[in-house]
Amino acid sequence: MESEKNKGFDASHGPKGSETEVITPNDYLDPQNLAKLQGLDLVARRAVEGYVSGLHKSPYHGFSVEFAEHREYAPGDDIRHVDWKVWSKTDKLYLKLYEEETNLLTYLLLDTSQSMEYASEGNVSKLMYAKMVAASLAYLVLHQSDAVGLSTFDSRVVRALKPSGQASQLKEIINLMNQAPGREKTNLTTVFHDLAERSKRRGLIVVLSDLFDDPDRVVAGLKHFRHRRHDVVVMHVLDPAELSFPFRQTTEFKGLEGLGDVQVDPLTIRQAYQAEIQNFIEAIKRGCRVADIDYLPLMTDQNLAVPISAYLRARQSGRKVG
Amino acid sequence: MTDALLNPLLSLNADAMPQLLALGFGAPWMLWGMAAGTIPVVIHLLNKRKYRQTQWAAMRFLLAALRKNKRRIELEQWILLAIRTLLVLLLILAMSRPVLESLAPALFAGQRSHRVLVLDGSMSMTRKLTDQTRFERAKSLARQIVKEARRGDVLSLILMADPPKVIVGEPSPNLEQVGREIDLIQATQGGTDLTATFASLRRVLESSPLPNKEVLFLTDLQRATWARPGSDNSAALKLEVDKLNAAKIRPVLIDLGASSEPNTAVINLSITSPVVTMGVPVNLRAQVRNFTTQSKPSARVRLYVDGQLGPEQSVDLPVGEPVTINFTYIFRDAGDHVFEAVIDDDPLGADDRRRLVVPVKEKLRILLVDGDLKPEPFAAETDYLAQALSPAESLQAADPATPNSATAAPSDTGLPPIALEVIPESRLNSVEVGLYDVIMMANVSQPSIPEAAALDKYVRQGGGLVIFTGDRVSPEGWNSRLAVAERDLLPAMIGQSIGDAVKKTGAFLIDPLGYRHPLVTAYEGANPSVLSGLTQVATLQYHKLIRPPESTARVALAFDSGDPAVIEVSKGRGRVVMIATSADSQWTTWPLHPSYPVVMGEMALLAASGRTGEKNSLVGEPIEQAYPASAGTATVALRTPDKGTRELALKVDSESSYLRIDPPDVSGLYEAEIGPPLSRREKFAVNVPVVESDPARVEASALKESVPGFDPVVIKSAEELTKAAEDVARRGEIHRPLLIAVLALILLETLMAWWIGRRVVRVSTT
Repeated sequence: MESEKNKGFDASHGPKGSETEVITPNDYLDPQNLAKLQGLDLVARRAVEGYVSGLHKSPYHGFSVEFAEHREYAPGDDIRHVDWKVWSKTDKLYLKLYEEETNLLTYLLLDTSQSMEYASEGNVSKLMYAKMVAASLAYLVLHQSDAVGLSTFDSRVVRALKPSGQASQLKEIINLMNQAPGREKTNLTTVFHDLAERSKRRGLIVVLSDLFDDPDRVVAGLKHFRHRRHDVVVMHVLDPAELSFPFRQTTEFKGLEGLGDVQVDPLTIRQAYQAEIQNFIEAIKRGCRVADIDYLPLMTDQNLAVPISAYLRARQSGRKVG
Repeated sequence: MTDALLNPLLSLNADAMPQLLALGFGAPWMLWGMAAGTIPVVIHLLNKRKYRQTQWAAMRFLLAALRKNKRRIELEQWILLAIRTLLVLLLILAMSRPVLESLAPALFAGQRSHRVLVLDGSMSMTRKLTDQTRFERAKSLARQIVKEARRGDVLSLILMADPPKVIVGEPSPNLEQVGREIDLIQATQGGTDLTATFASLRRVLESSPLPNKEVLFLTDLQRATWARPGSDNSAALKLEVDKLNAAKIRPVLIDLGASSEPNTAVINLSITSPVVTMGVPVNLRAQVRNFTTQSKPSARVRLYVDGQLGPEQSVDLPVGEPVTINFTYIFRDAGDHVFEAVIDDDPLGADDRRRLVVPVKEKLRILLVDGDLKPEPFAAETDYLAQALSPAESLQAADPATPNSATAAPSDTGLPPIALEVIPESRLNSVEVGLYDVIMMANVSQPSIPEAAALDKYVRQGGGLVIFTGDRVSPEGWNSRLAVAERDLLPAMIGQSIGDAVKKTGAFLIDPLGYRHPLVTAYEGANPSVLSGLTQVATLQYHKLIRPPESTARVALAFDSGDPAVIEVSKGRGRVVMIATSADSQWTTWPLHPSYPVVMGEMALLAASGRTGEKNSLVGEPIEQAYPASAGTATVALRTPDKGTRELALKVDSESSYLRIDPPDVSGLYEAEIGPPLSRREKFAVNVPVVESDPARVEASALKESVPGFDPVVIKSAEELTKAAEDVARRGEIHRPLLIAVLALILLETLMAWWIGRRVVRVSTT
């Protein structure tokens, strides 16, 4: 843990590999840059370590609470772990040693439906972004010695991996994600109910989806997790173009998930479209707030620091992310 | 304007549409570009075909938005499409340079056209402006218009006058030549004949095959020209104007006049005696008038006789009232004398001077034609008449072969010296009637046909004819030869005989009709004993004189039966007097009464008064004077007022020789030196028509009433044309407002497109 914490970050290993460019840790959190890396495990490592190097405080610190034994203090040890009670009685410095504990379960729920494959120009697809987030979170969770599991779904649960704290779990998760191309329409209600039934042990549910379904039904599904006393974080992945609707020319929009095609002059409909999607987002947010679910909107052009720090906050406080 | 200008694409029918709405096009071929109006539609359709494709995940929201906004979007699309199409159409319309016909009829620069310039050449146009006369101004405008004519245009030129002159009748493409003709043209000092001008205009317009015709009047809009009061040929004028309108030609009238211009004029010169003889004092009378709205104190009027200054008078001229100046003069020589009145110069100079030629005679030559000539004293029909006219004349007028001839000195009655000649009826056809001032015919049965023709011509040229009836008179013969439509010389038809002089069934007394007629005005206010000399005349028999309805003849005296006794009429320059009863005492006691010589003398003078008239005429009237046939075709040297000399020759017809001078354009004195065998010098005074002196105008708005149907586009001031002829050409052009509309539409289109595209909501996810 300590060694991980102090591990410096070698700039020369940066994604650009160029000595002339100044590379900041944030570059490693940029989804576009990360997308250039081979393999999600590398993405996850870079992202998390890039994030960690930017923090003042180690996120790996103090999750374990079970006391194991004392050890005599040696110069260089962190004085925060000195057992002052022992010192007051014996006038000697001893350090408290703790046992690691992996009692927190994190369930990552990844939407792989067709709508998640949309990518506007210059951005990664929503699915790709969601995968990056999932890998990063899995990496982070495993380094905290917690257990993490993954389920992919579209209109049903496609694949599921039970939570585990094994080091190999990351590889498993990445393998599973790579096998999961989006095919079907989203049907979140059934999926969420199904998943809620499957995850028996209480833990943290992280939903990565565009939630393109009826908002009431989505919220109803999410509520099922809360009913099972899970903590839920909804990471709502959207493409920026889905909000700004930046088209100018007459365009034929070919609907994903079999919703048909429509040809339209985007300028004439933009305002109405934006009103529609705004209403949708508001409905989801409102539903989450009522159900005490953490809601986190994510844009595919957004820095990965956002979901990571949101996860960490949720993990630390157990509450309130968005 | 013309059909040719109306574009077939718009098919504005000039018959159906008021002229105001008619459209013409400077570049009608541009209208084919109207097809470009389809471009926005095509672009719209192409746009619909040309589109990009994109995968889209958030389809459910797009579909919902479309479902809710379908109608609005369609409406916006249609409006935008309409704006764009309208924009293109307006642009094309503007580029085709449309012109509102009614506003730019004359100088519209379009197709080849036949342009007729009508210049007002009446006297009022000779008014001096600051540096040139109004007519010169009109000429320079005309030159300018000619200069600005386009290649291929043809021009004609008419001078509005009385009679009008067609200067360039055949449409001329030679603009330079037309310009030269304009330089040469002169205003007349006469009036105008509007009807004849319009008739000339019509003929000129008909002479050109070009369909595009334009008429341009340049006039001062003087009332005398455009609204002559009492003009008797208004029907003919309306007919001509209607023809112009039927040809769909709307003339342009350039109003060169100004209102309230001052003018004073000598409006009349006259002599009080109808006949002037040597040594007899005559009253010369001049009338001057102020046509201004302000009275003019102490205007100087100078009177000249034969170029010598007579009395000079200073008179106050009130507004609108003629002022008369009298002057008594005794002419010492026979021949033509010139009486002239001159008033101070003003801008309109031609009427500041007027002349009267007074023919002064040694004696009045009277021919008595006796229908019942007898050698015994007072047995012949004309004996009493001869005695009355020339008391010194003895009663030897008996020998029909040698007619009596005598001269009497001026008598107490104030009669001039009279030379009498008595001939029997049978000799009338061998007499040169033109030598006499008055011919009196007593109891002549009837004139032969050649005699009737000679008498008619004699009277119309200024002779006086007096006709007495009697028992030998054949009413049928007189009426059929001198009271018919083609030769209506007599003031009345001769009807049946009334009363019976033989049986003396009853007598008719004379009714003086209030002594109003000049023949008997001398009796007015006289004492009863004098009056009885006229009113107690008993007439036993007379011929009923039937005055035709609407005749201008005046009844001087009547019988107490109500029938006319003496009736008189003017014919041509001369006069005819008819007396219903006999000249001798056969039917009436008049020759025995003291009133007889008095009334007969007046009658002779009245009849002879036409002789003065023939020497004086107005601008635009021909001068005609008859001479004995013996004069033949003598040469005549004519001196005109502008000091020029023209060589003419007398003309000859069946009975006489005569001088004819074509209607002169310039007022003043014309002197004719007639060569041998006549060897005479004659003077003629030509004066300006009085109506031309009145500067009153017809307002442009009132033009339609004064000349029914005439509705030209009136350009108010000459400056309007001089300033920029292109302005006139551009009048009615509407491409500028159209272009402004195009600009407005471009803005509207941009705004609308922006407004449609602008509606972006910042969608927030937080």
